[in-house]
Amino acid sequence: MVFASHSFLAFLLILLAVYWLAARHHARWGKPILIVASFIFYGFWIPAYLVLLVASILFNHAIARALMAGPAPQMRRMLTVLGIALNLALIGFYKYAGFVVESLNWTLHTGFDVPDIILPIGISFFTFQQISLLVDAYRGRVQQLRFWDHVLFIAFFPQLIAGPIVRQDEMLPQLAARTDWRLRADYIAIGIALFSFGLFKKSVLIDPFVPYLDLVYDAAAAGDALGFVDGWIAGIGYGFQIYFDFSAYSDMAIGLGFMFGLHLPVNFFSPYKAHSIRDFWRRWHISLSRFLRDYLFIPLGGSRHGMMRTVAALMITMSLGGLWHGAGWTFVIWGMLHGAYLVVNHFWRALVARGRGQASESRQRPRWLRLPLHALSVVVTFLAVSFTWVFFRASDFDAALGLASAMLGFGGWHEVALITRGIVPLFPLYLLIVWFMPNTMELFQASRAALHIEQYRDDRQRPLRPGWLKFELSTRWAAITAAVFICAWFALSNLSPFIYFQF
Amino acid sequence: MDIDTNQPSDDSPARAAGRRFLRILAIGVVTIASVVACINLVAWRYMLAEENQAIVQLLSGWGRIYKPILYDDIKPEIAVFGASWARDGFDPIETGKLLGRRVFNHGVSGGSAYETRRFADSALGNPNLQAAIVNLDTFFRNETAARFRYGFDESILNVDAEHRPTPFVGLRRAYSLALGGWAVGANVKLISTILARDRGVARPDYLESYEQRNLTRRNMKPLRDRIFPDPERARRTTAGYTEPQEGVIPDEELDILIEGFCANGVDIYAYFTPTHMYKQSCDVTASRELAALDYLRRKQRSCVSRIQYFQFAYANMVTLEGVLSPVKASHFYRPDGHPRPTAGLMMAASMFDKPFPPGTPPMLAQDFGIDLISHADAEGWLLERAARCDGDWGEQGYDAMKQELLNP
Repeated sequence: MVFASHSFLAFLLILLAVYWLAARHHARWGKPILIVASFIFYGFWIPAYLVLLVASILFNHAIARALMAGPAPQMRRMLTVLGIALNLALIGFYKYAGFVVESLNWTLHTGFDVPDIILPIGISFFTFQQISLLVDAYRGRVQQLRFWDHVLFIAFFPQLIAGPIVRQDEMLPQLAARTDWRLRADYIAIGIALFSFGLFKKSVLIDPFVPYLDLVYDAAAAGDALGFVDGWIAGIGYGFQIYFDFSAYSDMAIGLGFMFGLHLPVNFFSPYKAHSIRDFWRRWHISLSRFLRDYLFIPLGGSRHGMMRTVAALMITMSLGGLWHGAGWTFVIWGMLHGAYLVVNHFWRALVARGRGQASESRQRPRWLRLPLHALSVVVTFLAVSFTWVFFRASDFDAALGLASAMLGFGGWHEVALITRGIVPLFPLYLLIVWFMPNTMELFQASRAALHIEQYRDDRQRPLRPGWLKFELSTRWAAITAAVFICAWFALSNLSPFIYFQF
Repeated sequence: MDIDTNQPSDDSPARAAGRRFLRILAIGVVTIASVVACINLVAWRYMLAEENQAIVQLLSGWGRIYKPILYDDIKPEIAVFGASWARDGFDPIETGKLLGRRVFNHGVSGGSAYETRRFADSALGNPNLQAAIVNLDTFFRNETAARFRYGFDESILNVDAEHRPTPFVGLRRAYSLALGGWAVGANVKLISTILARDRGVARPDYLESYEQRNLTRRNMKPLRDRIFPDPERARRTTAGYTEPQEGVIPDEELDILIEGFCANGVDIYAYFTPTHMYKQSCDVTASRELAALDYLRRKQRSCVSRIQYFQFAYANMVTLEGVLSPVKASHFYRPDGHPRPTAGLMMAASMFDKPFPPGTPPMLAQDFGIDLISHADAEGWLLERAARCDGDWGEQGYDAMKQELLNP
């Protein structure tokens, strides 16, 4: 079930009504209702895959409990390896079997049948949550793990199929401490407002204009000639599409969680305001970046074992991060490009740090130059990221290469007449939003709906300006929310599922 | 971790503010939705009025949603299917007057093969439907084109892709008409267009399909030199018949669409758009047209209703407009190159064997399409006309066409 659909709105309305009726008399019924609703939500697409979800929970719960029971070190390691291996096998079979066979056929000229497996929705997300739980259990960081808490931690529908990838220490303590599961009017109000803003971003701001973008990618897939302008329209345009799509999803997920009194972590924080690629990854899909850092990059050596080890760790982490997004070489290349950017950033920072060490005070950067340099860094980062998006979006390697070549000037000026049509005239508006406007998390900061927001912005030290942008439970914001929701609802289309649902 | 899991008492200020917020939100949403629903439903009755049909059906933007519903209300005898090339080409009122039957234009902007087939599926429930005009360009396009576009909603069609009745279709349509965001956009556009018409604004200025292209903006010289070369070169022998080229195959959706019409006794009038020659690539082998002929002939053998196939997309009086003499306001083409409804009238007259509109040049009436399925030498006819794009006019036509075009 897609959040931006009439069926989901009906589901949510019924759930809120049932939950309210049940939990107002029996405060503890909230949890089982949410579990049942989450299973209905997941089973709406292919009910058979519910078995997979339940099996994953049962298996990982058994391993985690065994690890928490304090077995001998060798047994702990063995259990952890077994648990991680089986989780990876599950995702490997459902997500990568076809890709592996295709790659084998291509490289070894073999003729194995490519298995036609339907990817269980959200498998990449809940499998990663399970792996992080097992590793934390191995490290002795899981305080308490009750079965039904584990079930809701994995299956909670706002985060089940497209994240955020929630860590056990973010969700399990909330579930364990909660005794009163009744709905709160203020939480529902804030949750609905966040959900509405997310819905608006998707159904009004971006979805109606995506077909124009598809024209360029279709042309690339058909092998048509493309020019410099076409290439950049494709890269920047898709950058906006995925920005609004993922930002919308993240807002909606956090809003939905908060309606039921549960806090999900910040997952998206104005990534196009990033002044470096490192900064970009602190703001884009934050929960995935965090997972890759804690469970892959650091175990691979991180940045404390010399330059070569760091470069290797970065490239491996980002390549696998790319592959996580999709079973295709274009995703790997996308990840490798980001890995290469991070390596360049790493060298650059090392160079600057060395230079700073030798420079005298008089050679420090003058104050008047800081803003233009910052703006330049933001633009360069934005363009570098935009360049990578064509690999992420293009249907195959040839199409991606065609677009990348066009972006680098190996083609004409422009071939697909889109400059005055559809999405392109909206680019200035999108840039205004992504570069100059406060993001939803900042607008809603005072409501404390999302976890870790204070790591990105401390409202007490640097309050939001202008002050009227700050969300509050007032008549004015209720009217704004009603208008935003109505516009988003009217613009609803069930055509374009969230991009991150595919992962 | 700083997480507030304590529940405040029932009368906490935050909870009271939340309750007030939710009340205002609910009142706001219900009020706006009710007002919009009322406006939409009133506007819908207005859309159904006979005198507004040309505007309603030729409007671009929301056809995917309102056309299937409108179609079921009008229950026409003839329906046009295709993308915007078809939508802009046929004015339902003017074409209806010419043919003496109710015509519905089901063309939509960027209509894909799948969408067109699905609209046809939904339209088959209408017992009045006698004939379908099918634009073949939709089915002989790029394979990578999107299957459907923004706004296409299968749940409001009468049947699903496997021809099973769609559950609750009436309810879905009622919801769509009353609370669909498209309705607001369509209403605003429709009302402003109707107001412009009632103010006496000229038709090309208020109805996009009737807008006229300025053909003098295009350098026609290379085209003119190719199609009308020196007379010596112009009288070559037309190339012989070649087998349809491999790789030119129609989309499988066309097959499903034709099977549907055949099973319901609906006559099919298939055609390729008479695109202006400056927009056509020169294919003297007529590979696409021959492939379509071959395919439609095979379908006719097993079809109880009549299949007719018309080719208009070759060098003729329509597609050569403005090539020899300057034309500032095209009679046949819109600024984007789509044929205007004036060209559609010519096509309809040719397809249904009706008199051409008064003032039509005799040469146009003589040489503008023919039913190729019943023609004895359809291949020869197609190749002869395809060769014109390269200046090969055979033994006749060159001088006469040139004279007509020079003295329109």
